[in-house]
Formats: sequence, C-alpha cells, structure tokens
Amino acid sequence: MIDKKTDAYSLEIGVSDEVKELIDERIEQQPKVEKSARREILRVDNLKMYFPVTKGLFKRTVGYVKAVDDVSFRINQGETLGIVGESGSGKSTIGNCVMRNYKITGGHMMFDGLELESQTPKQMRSVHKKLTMVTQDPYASLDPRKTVSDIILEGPTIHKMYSSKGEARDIVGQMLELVGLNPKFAERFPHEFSGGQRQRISIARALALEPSFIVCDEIVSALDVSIQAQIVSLMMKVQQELGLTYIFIGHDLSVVRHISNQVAVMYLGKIMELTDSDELYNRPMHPYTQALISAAPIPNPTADRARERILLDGEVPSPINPPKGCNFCTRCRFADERCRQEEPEMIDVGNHHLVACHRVAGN
Amino acid sequence: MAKSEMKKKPSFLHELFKTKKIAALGLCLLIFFLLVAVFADVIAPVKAVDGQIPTSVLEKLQPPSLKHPFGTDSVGRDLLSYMIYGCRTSVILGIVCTLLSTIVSLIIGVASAVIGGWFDLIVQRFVDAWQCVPGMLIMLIMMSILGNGLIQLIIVISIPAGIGGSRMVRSAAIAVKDSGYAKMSTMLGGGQLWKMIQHVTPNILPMIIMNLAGSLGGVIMMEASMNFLGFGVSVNTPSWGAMLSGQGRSNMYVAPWLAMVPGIAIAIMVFASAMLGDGVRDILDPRLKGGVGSYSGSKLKKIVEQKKQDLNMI
Amino acid sequence: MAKYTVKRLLLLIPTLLLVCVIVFALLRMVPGSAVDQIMYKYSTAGITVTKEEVAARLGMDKPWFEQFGIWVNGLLHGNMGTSLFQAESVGAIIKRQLPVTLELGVLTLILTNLISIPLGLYCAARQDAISDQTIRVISVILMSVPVFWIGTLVLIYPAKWWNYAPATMYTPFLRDPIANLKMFIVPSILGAMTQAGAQIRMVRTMTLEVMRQDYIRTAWSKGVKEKRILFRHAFRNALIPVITIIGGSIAGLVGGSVILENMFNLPGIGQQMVNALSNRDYPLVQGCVLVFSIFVMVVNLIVDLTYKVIDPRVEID
Repeated sequence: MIDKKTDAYSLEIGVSDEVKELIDERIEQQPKVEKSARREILRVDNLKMYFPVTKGLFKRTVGYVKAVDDVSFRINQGETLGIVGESGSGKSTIGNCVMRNYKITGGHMMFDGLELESQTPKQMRSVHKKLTMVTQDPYASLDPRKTVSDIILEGPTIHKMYSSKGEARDIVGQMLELVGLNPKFAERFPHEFSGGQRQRISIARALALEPSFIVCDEIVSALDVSIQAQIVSLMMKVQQELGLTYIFIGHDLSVVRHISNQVAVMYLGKIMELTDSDELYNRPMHPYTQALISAAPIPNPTADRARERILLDGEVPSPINPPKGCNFCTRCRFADERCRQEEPEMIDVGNHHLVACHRVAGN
Repeated sequence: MAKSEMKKKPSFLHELFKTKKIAALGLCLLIFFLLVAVFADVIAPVKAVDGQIPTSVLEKLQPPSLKHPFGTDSVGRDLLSYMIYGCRTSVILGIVCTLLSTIVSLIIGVASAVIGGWFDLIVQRFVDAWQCVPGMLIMLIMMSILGNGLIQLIIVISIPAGIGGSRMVRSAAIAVKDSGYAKMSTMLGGGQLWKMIQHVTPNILPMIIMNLAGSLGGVIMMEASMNFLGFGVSVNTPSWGAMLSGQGRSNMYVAPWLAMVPGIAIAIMVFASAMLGDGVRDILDPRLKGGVGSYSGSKLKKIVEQKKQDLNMI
Repeated sequence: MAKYTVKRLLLLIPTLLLVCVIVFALLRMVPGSAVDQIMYKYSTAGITVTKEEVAARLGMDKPWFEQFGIWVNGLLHGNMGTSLFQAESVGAIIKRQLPVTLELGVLTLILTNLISIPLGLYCAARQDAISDQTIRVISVILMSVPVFWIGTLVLIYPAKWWNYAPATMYTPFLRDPIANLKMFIVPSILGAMTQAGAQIRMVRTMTLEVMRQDYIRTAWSKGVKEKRILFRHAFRNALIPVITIIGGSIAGLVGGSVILENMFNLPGIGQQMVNALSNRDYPLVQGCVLVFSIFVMVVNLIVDLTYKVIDPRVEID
C-alpha cells in the first residue's frame, strides 16, 4: 500500500510538476475573474481567543494564554487564505475558532451572512454542512471501526443528503474517485491505508458534505514530503473543480504559498503580515517574514550557500506573558525603543499588502 | 493477501463459526438453553401447574430411569422437568440482569464521561468506594432486606454489577469522546447524540459485549452462590441453584444425581457464556489480532517459507 | 515515593468515608425494614418487644445523620457497636475472627498467583497453539464450576470412597501449625482454582497486548532469540498490568471466602457475617462489611504502591 511515486523536488519549493502545472493553470485563469466581482465569504474582525491558566486545587485563574489576539482577515469565495507560523503561534486556534470548537473571547466572525459566534450549537450543525474542516492527524481522525464508505457517508447521513443505498454508493464512488482513490476501497477499514491515503479519505469525507468552505488545519504536516505535494495538488484540483474556499494552515511557507491567494504570517497570536502570496514571497516587509523566507532551503547547493540567511536568536516568548510593544521585538534585529514600548498597527502599504511593523510604517 | 483484498468483510457469525469453534459451540449451547426455556411447557415430560412441578410422595428420590431420565427429588418431582423449568428461571435471570446491569453501567459511565466536572468527580469517588465493598456482601445485605424472589434477585444482582461496570464504560467513553474522529463528527454537523450512537457506543461496544457474555455466566454463578448462602428466588420457583444447594447437598449420599445434574448444567451454561464472550472479544477487538507475538515458533517458520517460495516464483 | 505514599493515603480518607456512608445506607435504604426483621426474629425466639424498643436499641429512633455521626464517632474511637444477640462488642468478635479470614485470604491469593501467572504467560507465548487452547479451556471450566458444588463433592466423596475427610474443626496456627494448614489447604485450593481460572485469561490478554508493542517488534526484527524476547522484554513489562489484576481480584476473593468459610466451617468473618445476617444482627453485619472493605482498600493500596515501585512512569491522577 504505497502511494504512487511522485517526482518531487523538481521545483525549488519542492512540489511536483503536476502541481506546478496546476499553479500555472490557475494563474492563467485568475485574471478572468475580476477581484471585485468575487464575493466575500468569510470575514473575521478582531478575533480574540484567550485560554485561562489555572493553578492549584481550586483552579484559580492566574493568567491567560493569548492564543489569538486581535486578528482580522477576510476571504473571497473560491480563494485560499494561507496561515503560517511557528507552533504555538495560534494558527490552528484560528481554524478552531472559525469552526466554533472554542467559545471565543472576543471579535466577530461572519460566514456567508451568518454571525458565527452567536449561532447556537443546533444552528451550528447546519452551518457545518457548508463549513467543515480537515485535521492534521490522519491516524486519529478516522473512526477505526467504520469502513471507508461509512466514513465518507457520515456527513451526508447527518444532513440526510441521500435517500437510497444506491445514491449513497454513488456518493462514495464519486468522492473516492475525486480524491484519487480506487472506488473498490469503499469496504475497507482505515487501518489498511497509509498516511497519505488516510488523509485523502479525510478529504473525501469533508467533500461529501458538498461544502463551500474547508478549514485545512496542517493537513500535510504529518505526511512525507513527496506525499505532501500530492495532497496539496489534490486540494488545488478539487478547489478548481468545485469552487471551494480554503483556510490553509501550515508551518511550511513554501507549501502554503503555493496553494494560497493570500498568506497571513502569524507570530505569538498576532498577524504580522498579510498579503498576496507572490507579493509576500517577492517583497516581504516584516522582519519576521524575511527571516522565515530566508530560512527555506534552496535545492541548489551553490545558490543555497550564497543566499543571505537571517538567523533568529532566542526563543519564542511565552504567550502567557508576551513582551510589551511589538510581539516580535525580543527577536527582531531592527528593534528599537519604540518597538519595545508601542504596539504597531496593521497598515496597508499598498497593493493589498498589510504589515504590522513600526519600521515599515516609518518609511 | 491479494485474494483477501477482493473479499468483502466476512460476516461476524461466519468468522465466529470458522475461526472460533469453541465460541461457536458456546453460542449453540446458549441458543439450546434459550429454546429449552422458551418451549419448557412443550418439552417437559411433567407439566408444571401454576409454575410448580407436581409432587408425588410415592416416587421420591427415584434414581434415573426411563420414566424419570434424571430421577426424582425428595418430594417426588421429576428432575428433568424441574431442570427444564429451572432453565427458564436461569435464562430470564441471565438475560434481564445482564441487560439491566449494562444499562446501569452505560448510563452512569457515559453521563459521567460526558457531563464531566464536579458531577464526574463525585460519581467517581462514589464508584471507587462502592468497589471497595465486596459485591457479594452488598448482595447478601440487600437480599436480607428485600427478601427472596425473582424480581428482588434481579435488582440485587444487576445494580451492584452495573455500578461496578460503569468505571470501565466511563474511561472507555472518555477516550472515544476526545478522539479525533469524535471531534470531527461535530465539525460535520453531527450532534451529541450522533456522536454517542455513531462513535462512542460502537467503539466501546467490544468491551461491553465482553462484559455481557462474561456477566451472563457471572449472573448464573451469583444466583447459585446466593442460594448456597440461603437467599434466592422464592421456594416455589424451580431453580438450578436452589436444587443444587438445597436438596442436592442434603441428599448427596442417597441421591447424588440431585447435585450432579444441576451442578453440571450450571457449569455448562457458565462455560458456554465465557467461551462465547472470549470469541466475540477476539473477533471484535482488532488490538488482539495479528501482531508479532502470534508469529512465534512454527508459525514464523511457515510464514518465512511461504515468503521464500513467493520470491522464487517471481 | 514518600510523597506518593502520603498522597495515596490522603486519598483513602474520602474513600473510607464514602465506604462508611454506603455500609450505613445499605441497611437503611428500606426504612423500617431492619427493625421489622429484628422484631420478627425476636418474636420467633419467643421474646415480645415493641417497635420503639428495637429502634432505640439500634439507635434508629434518632434522625439518620445523628445515627451516622454516632456510628462514625464510635468507629473513630475503635468502637463498632454491640452485637444484638451475642453479649460481646462487635470489635471483640471481629478481632477474634479476623486471623482466620486473613489466613484464608492470603493463602488463596498466593496460590491463585502461583497458578495463574506462569500459565497465563505460557499461553501468551504460545498463542493459539494446542497447549494454549487446552489451558484456556481448562481455565474456563475452573471458572464455570460452582465452588460450593466442588467443595461438597470434596467433602463427601473422598470420605465415602477412601474414608478421608478434610478437617472441619478449627485449630489456631500457633497451637498446631500442621493441623491448621491441613485445615486451610483444601478451601484455599478451591478458592484459588476459581480465581485462577479468571486470572489466567487476564494475564494472557495483558501479555498479548504487550507483545504487540513496538519494542517487541524491534526485538524480533533485530533477530533476538524468542526466549530472550519473552523473558527480557515481554514478561517483565506484562507483569506490571498483571499486578493491577491482583488488586482487582481481591473483592471477588472476599466473596468466595464467605462461601468457603461457611462450607468448611472456618470461624472467620465471612461465616460470622452470614450468621449475623440470618439473625438480623445488623450492627455486627455493619462491622463485618466495614472490615472486609478496609481489607480490600489496604490490598489495593499495597498493589498501587508496588506498581509505583515497579513502574516509575505512574503518576497519581
């Protein structure tokens, strides 16, 4: 049960030719749709998610982990917002907040005209038909006692989307084919599959709902690099075919960049920089983004040795006790007194490029 | 491997009869007892009147004969008929107690797991303490207060067993509730009830079934033990345990069949349920399947030989 | 380790209190019933008493929380109340009979583990082989046979055929150790048989689960000999969960000992309790149940502490 071999590493970012073609295709297609014509589907304003830290026998609250602190973004239908950041930066928390897995501390989330934070659990159930999630761990997310067919049909059964066994079988067949699995696998159990195949089943389960929006929470992080490329290309393929909108969360900037229209770079619960993915890669403004991009290896030894590397000193500060001023000031090579005192505002430097840095604002 | 890939998953019964012969035998025996219990009125040579076997002073303590295949007891009742009607008592007790105690376990365990917090803490402390009091003693005390009778016995056996079993249900339910796929079901739009029915219950089912079959035997054993200590169904209800510890023991010298027949019947029923429970667990619990340990010794050699041959073929 | 022990001991206090509540509540769950039962008992003995007298004698004329307070207060001062039908305090009766129950319990426990651990490990090592299947079937047969039935057969048939009878007169260990052991050996073997039947299968399952761990797989793939894998890797790690099984089997063992004491006429707490129950001597019953429960708690504590010594990963929950 080995996934199809892929000729990976052929690109500097480490994805297959197949993906490259797909990207090219999409770039060609993009100008056809006017940006303003695209409908806004998700809008998040000033999202805050603080987790209380408790201590002792009586669970006194001694502080808060500010996992997500004042984050805003919007996504148009059919597009992808990538969110990158180190572990602990709050990127998965954003996904879970949008899914209403947590009770948010503050902010507003509008999905398709619905105010997400005020939906009751019962109302959320129908929202989840349109807004669903694929999670990181392909081993934990599939019920070991259900067949692939049962797993894929879970959503359609909950929402009564079919009326006969034949229809159900058709859904399973279609979905398996869509995610590149043999429809014969329908009666098998999850333990018979590899990590990549399981992640495909997970995707098929989400797609069977016929959603309009999928939160992809580190869906490739647990997989081998060559299989990562396959899954990313699969996600792009189904996005094209079904007109889906994604939040794509990951910690590998090169992977996220290639599926995303916009990328948000997160650090300690805040967005540092948010812009179009190519713009971000070509013209990174925030010192943290610059450091991230310089850290990505280039698969050409000469070029790799020649490039400038920005090394970050020290550790990520504790989110319970973030530094005063700019969150990044403890590790920023340009940090000055203002950075340590005053929190930078998110400003638009033009070309839909948002940065939260005093240095950029000053110029 | 190639062949098995083509096959659909084998049905449960098929697998049971093919791979777990003794468990299948257990199932057959239990079905046999069930049929005997259901058709007691048809097959018993001496029919019961108002639930009691007619006595006959002239025929007391007769050894087994053609007329009375298992002999008669000290008041001249046909032992075979008594056993057949007693089987009905045992089957009712077994089924009702097992189901009732499972329901008690499920309610306490799942509620504790789902509600959590203080409720869970208090319930668990109580269950911990309950576990410290030996079940047999609790049952004896409850019986002495409630008095003898079938319904009393059912309550007395089921409730302590149910409380004891709730702990396992709870810890299993918590693990499933926190698993990725159970959380995922919420994100597909499934409610709490859906999660319970579709994910939590099926995933703790093997453990519960293991409990079911095990406690079926346990219930029969309990009934017999309680009878030995002087508590049980009312005197007029035919019961294997009552025959064994009452007349059987007191007439051991003169009429050994009175102890032998019910003793063996109890043993067979307990044995059947335990073996069935084992087999069911082996089939339903994938953790116990395959594994390196099962390839030791001759089996390993066979597999290695097979692999070598496969390689030569290519 | 010391900290763990202290924590564990502190946790015993709420459990013990709840045990007291359960034991106390059991007799009061059906209000008035105990009083009625006692009145019935007195009347069959030809003594006429009024309901109020009995209630006063039991302390049941006071509200339940006061009764509970008095009882627990008594317990704290080492006073478990007075037997209704024996002119002795409950404490004195239990103190006299505790050694018998302890000896039977400990002997049964030792025999059970001597039988079940080696056989269970052997079955796991030879999973699904003929020897494994045979032992498993035998273990289930042991579990399936009612212990009092076998006990009766042992009491009667050897006597009938060979004129041999197990001793049924109790001799204290210190007076005549051999006579004492002769008396205890048959009931403890019978008790151990039933327990071992269940335990063999549990030991086997636990070991099989260990044998599916990655480190065992690694050992196999390194080419380590089977014997070494079994003894150095599998059995050692399987023994850890097996210890918890011993803790779990204590409650069942106590239940069995009630039957065995009654059958072999051993003057232990189990026999005392059954007698007290048929006499409706509820203060004595309460005392017996409490002592049994504390016995179970203490064994569980010892098991937990042993577990901690063997497996350093264990943390208190």
